[in-house]
Amino acid sequence: MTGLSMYSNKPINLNKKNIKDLEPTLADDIKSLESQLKTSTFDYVDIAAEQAWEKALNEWPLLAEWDVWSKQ
Amino acid sequence: MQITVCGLRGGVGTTSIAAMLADALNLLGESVLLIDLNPSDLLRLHFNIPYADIHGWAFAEAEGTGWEQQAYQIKENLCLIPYGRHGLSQLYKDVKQPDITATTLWKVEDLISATDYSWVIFDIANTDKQYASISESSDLNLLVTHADMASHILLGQHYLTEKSKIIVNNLNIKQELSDAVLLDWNMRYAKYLIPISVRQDLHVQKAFAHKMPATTYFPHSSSARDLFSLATWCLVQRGVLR
Repeated sequence: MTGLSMYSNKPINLNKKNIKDLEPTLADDIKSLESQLKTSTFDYVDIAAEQAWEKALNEWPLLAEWDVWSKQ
Repeated sequence: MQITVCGLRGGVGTTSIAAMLADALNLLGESVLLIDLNPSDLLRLHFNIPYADIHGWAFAEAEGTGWEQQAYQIKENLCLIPYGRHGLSQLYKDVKQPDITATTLWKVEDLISATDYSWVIFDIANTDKQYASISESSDLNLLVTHADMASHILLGQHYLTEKSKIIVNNLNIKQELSDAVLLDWNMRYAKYLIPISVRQDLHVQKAFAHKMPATTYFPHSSSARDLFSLATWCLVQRGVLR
């Protein structure tokens, strides 16, 4: 058996129902989470960036000093 | 479209960015007029003009002959007006300091209608107020920076307008401090920060040593690719502004 003959080459009828079946489900995490939480808004917090920012402020005193000054 | 390319401070690669942006836009099919407002008169050396050639608009102004005859046709649809060698006037005291009146003529409407170029790009040495009117009449003011602490502090002291767009040059993607500075800028200056950085790349200097912008001499280098992305971003801005 060749590789190609493993696939069915029969035409399929792409009616609306079939197209709906093809919509992404698992891949769209945010959308599925929104539907789970039944809310249309979703506040996305980049925790990794926040942690990197905290680390940077601890590591670079001038960065931290100017950041405090700029927010006064 | 009129763009000023201005360095937040010296040594951030303003002239290289101006040369490569003009060249990239030209290679993408645009007509570009490039004007050097930097007394160090280096921009012309990115385009194979002989070092001994002293012509340029400031030189012509000093001589009282006008800037209109000082343009070099680099290639089809790419034209350059150098500053001119008045920068050595301290050595040759018989050369007059230019009375810089030409810049008052360089308003976008006049210049574009007079020259028929789609893009006019000014290379401005620093953020002095001398060329404020040109920045005001431009569509975009590109502010060239490095993602380092000095630029971070200076940027905090710099007045940004709606037209100000920050471009990070010479980015070392392995440097933690650059990451930290960019993290801050992404939060603080999000609407001013161009979403393209120009990566650190020795090809820029090597191309300059061959008297050409890296976009032509090393078109597959990382810096050239970044500049083509920047040129494409500029084309999109033209669509947005219109």
